[in-house]
Amino acid sequence: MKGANGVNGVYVIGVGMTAFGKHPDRLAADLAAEAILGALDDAGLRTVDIEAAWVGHVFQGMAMGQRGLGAAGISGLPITNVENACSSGSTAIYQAAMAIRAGAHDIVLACGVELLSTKFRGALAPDETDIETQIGLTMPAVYAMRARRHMEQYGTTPRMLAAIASKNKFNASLNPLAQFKKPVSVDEVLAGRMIADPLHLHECAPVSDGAAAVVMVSAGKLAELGRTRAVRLAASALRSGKMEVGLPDMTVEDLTWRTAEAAYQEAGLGPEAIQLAEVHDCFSIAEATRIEGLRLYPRGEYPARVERGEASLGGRLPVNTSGGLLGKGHPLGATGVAQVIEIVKQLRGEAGARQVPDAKVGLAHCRGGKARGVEGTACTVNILTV
Amino acid sequence: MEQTKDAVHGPDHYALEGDRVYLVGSRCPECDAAFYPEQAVCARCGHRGSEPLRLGPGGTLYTWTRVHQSTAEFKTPYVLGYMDFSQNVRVLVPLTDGAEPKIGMALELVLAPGPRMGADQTPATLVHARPVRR
Repeated sequence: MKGANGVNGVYVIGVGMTAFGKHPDRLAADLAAEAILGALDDAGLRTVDIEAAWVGHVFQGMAMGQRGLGAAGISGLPITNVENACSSGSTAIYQAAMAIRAGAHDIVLACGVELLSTKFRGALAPDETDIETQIGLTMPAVYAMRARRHMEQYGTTPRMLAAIASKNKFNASLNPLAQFKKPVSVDEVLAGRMIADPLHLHECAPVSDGAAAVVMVSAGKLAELGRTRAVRLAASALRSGKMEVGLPDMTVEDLTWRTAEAAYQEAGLGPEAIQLAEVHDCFSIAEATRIEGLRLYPRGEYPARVERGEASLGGRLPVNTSGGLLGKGHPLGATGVAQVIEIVKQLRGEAGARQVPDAKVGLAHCRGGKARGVEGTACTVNILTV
Repeated sequence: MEQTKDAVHGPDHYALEGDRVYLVGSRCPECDAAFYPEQAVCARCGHRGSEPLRLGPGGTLYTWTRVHQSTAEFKTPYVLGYMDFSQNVRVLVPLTDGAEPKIGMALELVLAPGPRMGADQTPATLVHARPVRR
């Protein structure tokens, strides 16, 4: 059974994730195993059914995948560990889907995992060999400088950016697996301590632990298994940032657009078809520049529209219904997988208090990291449909 | 093939001429693309090899932030900004204490201490930018 572009169709039939938050008393392998077994139970499959697995993480050391799968009683199959900064988990999904498209496998697993609370405190910085890191660049500083340009060019205000954080914390309060349980008002965001001016504490993703996993099958295998809650992975695209030459506009996400363009083309639809989106809101401003880069809202207008409620649950195009990275938490390697899980739950109609009515088409966008000379390191866009 | 060496804006990456401070990047002799720090293989056309390119001493402030939380070896708060040079290159620089930064303001390069602390807890000397005094 072939998809729109003649490639094998790919379907998500099982999802599982741990609660995101602080789990300093657990091992990363145990978190991964909980997510993997949850995804298998959801798919109605056994451990021995998995043909190949990809495991994304950033800071978990050698052979994280083998340790996590081993804790779930899975071994001997092809296992690939994936490091692609914050897009590691979504890159694992991309690669697992590629294996199905290529006809190499019919049942694959993609997992993302990260245990950060025992390794980091405070601000994350790009790799220490980068010249920019050596003069004090942190991830919050990168986004603070983009925020200041957005404010300068489009009249965006600190209050509008705070509204993005407040929206996501509210959505997280409706998500039992989210790190943050309480809504945070716009005034409370603005009263928080400054991390990198103009970004306050609640506008920066927290340090988090967690794991997430999905089971994907080929169209042929789906027909054989006969699962009724399958969600189609209509597109999965991966791109990297180009080395910058000249003086680019820092409010424009060329990387996000190039990735989205490939995904829209593969899915045979455009931004107007998207009904909800999970995007990589590592900082409040990041949600704005990603959404504008995906062309889901016009350039420069997103923060003002969030303030008017357009991206809230019940709004024109809800964004980060899961709570996003700001509310659900950001265990780096697990993030991209958890975003896809939120879209799957929404399209199945299983999102509970966060449910977007009649959702048929959703998009998950993940991009991570910073390396010298490039706008961003890795970016994925996954489009899911029912 | 020689690798591009990443290092702090230290002596390998700046030049002095009287009291003028320049950053030293590179230019591709084939397509004229300019980079900082030096890029041994052109990221635009793939040409191997580069020519040194002096940047500064003046430029303009593209954007900035005051960093209040950082990693252990930095003393907060400190100000960072991206400085645009006429050679079509943008470089991240620490800004000296003093005048409130403003997008578009004229900057000049200077040598100054901080924000990075050395092993003895004294600030390392780095190329900084400061507002041009009128």
